[in-house]
Amino acid sequence: VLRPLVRLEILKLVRDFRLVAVMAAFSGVLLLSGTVSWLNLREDAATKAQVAAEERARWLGQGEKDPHSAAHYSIYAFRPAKALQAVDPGIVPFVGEAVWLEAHLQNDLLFRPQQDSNAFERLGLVDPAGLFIRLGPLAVFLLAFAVAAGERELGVLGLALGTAPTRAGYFGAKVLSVIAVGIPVLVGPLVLIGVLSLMTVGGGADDAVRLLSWTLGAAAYIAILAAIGMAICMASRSVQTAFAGLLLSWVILSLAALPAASAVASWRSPVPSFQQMKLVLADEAPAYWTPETGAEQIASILQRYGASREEDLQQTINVRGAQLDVAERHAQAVFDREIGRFYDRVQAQDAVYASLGWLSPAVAFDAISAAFAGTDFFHHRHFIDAAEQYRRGLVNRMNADLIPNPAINGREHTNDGTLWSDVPAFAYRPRPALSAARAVTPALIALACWLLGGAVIVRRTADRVQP
Amino acid sequence: VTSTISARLLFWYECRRVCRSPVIWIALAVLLVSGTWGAHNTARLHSDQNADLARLAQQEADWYADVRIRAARYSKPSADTVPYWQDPTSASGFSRYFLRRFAAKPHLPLSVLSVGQSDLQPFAVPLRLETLFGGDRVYDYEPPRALSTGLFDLSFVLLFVAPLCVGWAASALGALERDQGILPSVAAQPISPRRWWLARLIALSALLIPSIALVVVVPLVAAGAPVVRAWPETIGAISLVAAHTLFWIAIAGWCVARGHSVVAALSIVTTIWLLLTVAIPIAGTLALQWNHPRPSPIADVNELRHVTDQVQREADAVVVRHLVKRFGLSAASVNPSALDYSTRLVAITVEMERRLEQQERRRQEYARASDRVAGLVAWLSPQAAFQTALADLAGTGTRRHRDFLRAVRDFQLELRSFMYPRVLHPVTFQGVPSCGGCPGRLTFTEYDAIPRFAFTDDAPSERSGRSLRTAAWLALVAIVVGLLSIAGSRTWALAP
Repeated sequence: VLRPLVRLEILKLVRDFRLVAVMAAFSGVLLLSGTVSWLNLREDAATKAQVAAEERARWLGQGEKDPHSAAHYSIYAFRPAKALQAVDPGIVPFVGEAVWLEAHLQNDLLFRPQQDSNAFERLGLVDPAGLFIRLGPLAVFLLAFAVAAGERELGVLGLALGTAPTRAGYFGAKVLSVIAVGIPVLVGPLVLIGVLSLMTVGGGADDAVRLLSWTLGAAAYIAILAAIGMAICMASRSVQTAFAGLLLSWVILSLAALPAASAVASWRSPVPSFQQMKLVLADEAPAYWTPETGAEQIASILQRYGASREEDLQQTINVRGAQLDVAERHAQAVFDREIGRFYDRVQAQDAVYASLGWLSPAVAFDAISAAFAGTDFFHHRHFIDAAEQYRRGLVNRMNADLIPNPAINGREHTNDGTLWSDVPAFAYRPRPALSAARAVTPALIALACWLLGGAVIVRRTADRVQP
Repeated sequence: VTSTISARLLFWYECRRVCRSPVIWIALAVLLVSGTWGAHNTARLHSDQNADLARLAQQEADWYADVRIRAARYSKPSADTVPYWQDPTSASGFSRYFLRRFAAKPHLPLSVLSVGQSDLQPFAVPLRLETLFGGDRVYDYEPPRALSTGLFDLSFVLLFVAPLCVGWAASALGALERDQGILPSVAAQPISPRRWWLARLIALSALLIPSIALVVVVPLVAAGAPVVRAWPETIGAISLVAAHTLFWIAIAGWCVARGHSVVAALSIVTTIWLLLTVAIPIAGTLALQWNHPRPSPIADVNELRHVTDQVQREADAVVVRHLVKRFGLSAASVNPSALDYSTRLVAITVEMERRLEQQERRRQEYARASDRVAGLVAWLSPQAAFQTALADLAGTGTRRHRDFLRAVRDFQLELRSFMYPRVLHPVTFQGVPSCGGCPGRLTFTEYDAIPRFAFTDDAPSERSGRSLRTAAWLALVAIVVGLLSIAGSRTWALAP
């Protein structure tokens, strides 16, 4: 019964050339934004792969030197470009993309793309998913307005409802027609970019699953908006009220809801001061220790090796190396406690944000989109942790080489490519799609509830429509 | 009835109508509530940052207190030995392992007006002598998801919500007669459409502009901003908001005067808003990317590592060259390998900066290109101009940050010119004074003489002057649009 009605509504929509032009503009903007994002990503991925290979070659070819100097030389690790970053860059413009994995320090990721930008660059961020989430509702509401307001404006709504088999079926067909047009117009360009990115930037089955999940989420988002738009149009007594209602809903549900939910999340789950955390690190795990700390280190080393004097040990082990090892492991424990706790709080705030999906479908989908694209903090932290584990492995390996080799006649132990090649290349394996879904479960539930609620509202409102 | 009295009557009639309209009060209430919340959010962020600055200052003071205690201890004869990197009385050791200074960018009195880039760009930069081209590359870690959604602040309300509220209210009021089908009755009265529109626009402006200005001042006061003490900035902010409101009233008036219904007028206002707020900045970003691609930081890292390798390979020669250049040929006999790492670093840092000068120039050129495009975007989009002016007034914009970064670099050079001669002095003048049997080298103890960073801001009147210029530009555009709409309404735009 629904199919002819849906077909009729779609035909009415595509025959309205002004509406087609507006939808083409929305589609075009998304496609353009996606294309620019994809081109940037492709170039970025190629540069990172090339420089990472050069870093590895530099590490292997650094020649003969003190292993601790090698640990300081170390490598830069680059966060690999994810294929779906072209669809949703998420937090990527606001976090660093390279980290120097040197001894003593868990460095921050540097080179945030937006850090030195002008304000207009932030306002005009080329963010396809951001545009989709913020402006998509406007396009869907325009479609809903076009299919729902026409009969009311012409005064034939009563006649149309009189001839329809059921009211719910009649309005349901309208909702379906909006969804049927909205998905290819708004989701289509981004899926196309996603596929293109998967093919060129690289991605396996996991990325394909991520793209499929993202597409389903985006389709659900469009369906929810179509239901909301239709419900507003049906509940409004006049075309003017309907339009004002749609506009207000757009401002509240997408434009204001995202920063508002973010503000609520930071209020409910505040993140401690980063500077304060840095001061604690400088205090408790300084890169260069004082004579007093040095004496404590020596005492613990003497105890470990069962010696009573440093001079006795100097014949058998490299005391400097042992000191470096003690300092490094102490610093690692401090980093785990302080930096780990700080990032836990950032992640907790993101979880609160995801749980605020009930405020607006835009909030729910914003969390889901970045999670499936692999561009949220949950994924970013995984990279940070992986890079830090690699750093620790590298530095500990260098110290382990130094400890059993005491300086001979004042000449410190050195090593060469044999040791450097003992450290494997940094290879990062991102989290699987399933863990991403698990991290945003509250947002997924909220989106499902919005979908269900949208269907219920359309049904209820359809029964109460007054022509 | 004379025409003068008619105009006055018309104006008062319109004023009463505007005052009685629930749409206006709803719009103002939305702006007041959301603006107060927004200002509170920014105030909280900036208060946390001020607390961080205080902590940094305290930590620096504690550090130097400890340095003085150590210096006193190492200045007395003792059997202990201290390596140079643990000796704060050694100029070279101090320069790398003990020197602590940070550059602070304090918030301005009206900072709660706009969060600008203050959630993204660092407000405290630690200084080290060997960092290339300025302070350490650091940032204050705000949750990145919050950065990507943007902070819900007062400028967000003014930029995103206020135009739509004003457009909505002005369209709803302006097109009421047309939509209710009573415009022919109005047209039948002895009033010209121009006078009617003029009275309507003036009434809307006369009530909306002061109200929205008040809606800005109240959140500022509620957030603790010293609006009276910072009166030049307050006047600048009020002027900006007034001109911005006038602009959107003019846009909505123009739509309504052309005979559009509320729906059509709102559609056009929203489209213009989208164009000015989203499309033009995106076009600016794309134009910038197209004409001046951002230098790849990854490629820069590659170059940095390559140059580091080169300089390290030639380190001895680099050090000798530097010493000869500084002290003359007599320094050529110095054995560079015998110098400590911190002393060698003086020459190596200078050489690294020389070889990476092109890279830094590329970064500066990109920043200049970005500023040029920002200027163009501000001319093309009153929304971008308004946003930039608010951030400028609040001291949270890019302009002030660039000034800050320049000051940080100048300060680093000042620190270097203070420390480097002291670090290099013992190289050529052996037998520097040291107490007999003291662990300390005593080549540097002038801790109080170390320069301190001071950031000189523009005068408040200068900042206010810039915002007044932007306000004048917005008002001019608004007046032109308003005059066009009035000039275009020679006849009544009656619905067919």
